[in-house]
Amino acid sequence: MSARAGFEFLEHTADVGIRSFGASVEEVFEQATRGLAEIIGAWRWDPGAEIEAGDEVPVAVDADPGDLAGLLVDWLSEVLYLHEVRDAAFGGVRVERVGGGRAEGTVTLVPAGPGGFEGTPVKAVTYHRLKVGPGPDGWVAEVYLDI
Amino acid sequence: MEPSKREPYTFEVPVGYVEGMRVPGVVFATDELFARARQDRAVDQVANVATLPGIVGASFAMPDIHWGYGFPIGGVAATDVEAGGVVSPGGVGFDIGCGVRLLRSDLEFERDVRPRLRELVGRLARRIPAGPGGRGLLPLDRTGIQQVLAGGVRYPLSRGVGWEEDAALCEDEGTVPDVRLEQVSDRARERGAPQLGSLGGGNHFLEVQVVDEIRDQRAAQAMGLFPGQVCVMIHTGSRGLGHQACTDHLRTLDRLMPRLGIKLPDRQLACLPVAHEAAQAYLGAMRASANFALANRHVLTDGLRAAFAEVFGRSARELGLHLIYDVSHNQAKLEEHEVDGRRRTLCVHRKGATRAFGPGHPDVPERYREVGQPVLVPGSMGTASYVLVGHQESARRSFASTCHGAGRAMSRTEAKRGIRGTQLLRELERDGIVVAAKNPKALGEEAPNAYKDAGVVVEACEGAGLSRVVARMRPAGTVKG
Repeated sequence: MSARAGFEFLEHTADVGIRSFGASVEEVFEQATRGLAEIIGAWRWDPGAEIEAGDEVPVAVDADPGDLAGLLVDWLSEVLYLHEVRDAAFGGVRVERVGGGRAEGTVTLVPAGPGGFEGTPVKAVTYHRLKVGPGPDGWVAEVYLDI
Repeated sequence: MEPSKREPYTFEVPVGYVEGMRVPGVVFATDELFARARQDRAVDQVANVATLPGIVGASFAMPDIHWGYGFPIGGVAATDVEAGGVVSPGGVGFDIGCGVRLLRSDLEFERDVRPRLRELVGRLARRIPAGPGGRGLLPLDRTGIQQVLAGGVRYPLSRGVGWEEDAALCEDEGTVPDVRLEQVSDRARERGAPQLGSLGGGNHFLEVQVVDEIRDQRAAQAMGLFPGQVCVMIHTGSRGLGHQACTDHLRTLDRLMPRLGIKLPDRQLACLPVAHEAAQAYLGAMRASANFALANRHVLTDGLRAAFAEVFGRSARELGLHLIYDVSHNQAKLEEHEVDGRRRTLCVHRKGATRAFGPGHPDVPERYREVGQPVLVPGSMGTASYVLVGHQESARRSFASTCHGAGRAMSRTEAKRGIRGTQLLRELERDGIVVAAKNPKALGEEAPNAYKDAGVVVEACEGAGLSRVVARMRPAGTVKG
């Protein structure tokens, strides 16, 4: 993870947005994934900590070439689907490649733990005010979630 | 080109406020509610919706308007199907068919329930699945989910769950027709199958309420309401099934829309002409998802009736726990309305808004036809909820639409900064309201001051000629996810 990588939440009256940033578009997708997981209360890994064994699940989504923003919605929607049907938390995410209309990587699914998910359930990923593109210091994405 | 007040409780957003508006925006609100709507950019969203191809009349917003995604929450937009009007899944929302139902009872709060309120709420909390994930009261196999999608409440009834007479007291009589089962994906089914008969989280709830004011005696009598009476309100929707179904079809429409040359100011407004095959596919999936939502509330009703019977030692029938009505506030429906002197078939989107047919409408159940369709408006946690009826003028004013709730006034982050969930629980207890919350830490997001005053919202709806207030109920005990 680069020093430039991270995310922050964007205020919204009823829902919530994520602004993620990073040195590469792959990193921006990773940080958006982490933001989504944090909202749900499903992120289970801190840098440097021992990660418990989990299930590394491949994720691959396709969109129209050149539509990075649509690809981000598809990626996060896929992650959300996995969380819900597997009732799983996330022990990590690695986005290997974003380009040519495809995003590929893995998410590590781990048990939720005794506390369950103490965040806010997310219903879906929206296209509202969606952006992915070069930023002042690398790449930036903004995406809003329906909660 | 600035918005202006047209008449009491009615503000107009003129064509030209944003580029491409085809009709004006009309926001029903008090002066203060409108000012707030401008501040949180919801009025801009009203104007954006006015750019939808085929939109007629106006882009409406109800007094509980607030910033949404694409459509504002509280948004109503009708498009002329024959004139190439569109359907926009964002005008329904991801929680397809989310809605509210209200049951009445013969119980008086002070005499019958107050001494046993904590026991009742505890029993409801044990019986009613709430919170994210988790299994519902009636998990489904492949056949079951197919039948729920097709038949709504008919499936649980066929399994002996619930009362037959409840169906007639729901919109569409508990079964939304014209579904397209093959358009509900395997993923949507996978998400929804374990969840039938569960509340979910967020602002969904089951609440024991007390009628503390009757404002329309005739309508209250038709509904069997009296002062001091115990009622039960449920607010929930189509759970993960609807969320996925909307996600699937929104993606398809988003990809196809540019090929038809449709350009919109917000990508979340993605749409296609109703006649387009992909739009028909979405509508078919939307209707099936709405059937899931109806069945969900139906199954939860069975659970709450059982809880009451266990606590009070009498059957739910002996307790008089009858359904008053069930409404949806996230749906698109094909309805006939008069536009420019001619009856037309319109695709009426209500996103955080409730259908409100006035007296005499043939789709209103016979017992309510003289007074108008019941509308159920939940307040925020710890505050009053309301029963309304559709106003005689609602069809002319808003394509028969009115508000759906209190409407948020601040972001969840800001709300949590104001009060912690555990502190809110203590304050509600001090006010005599017993709350069972699966995730108490998240409750701060639902604090009353995070929402507008539902009383002000329903008064504005009455002032605007959309609906009339029948009764007010205060909360006594709440089960939340």
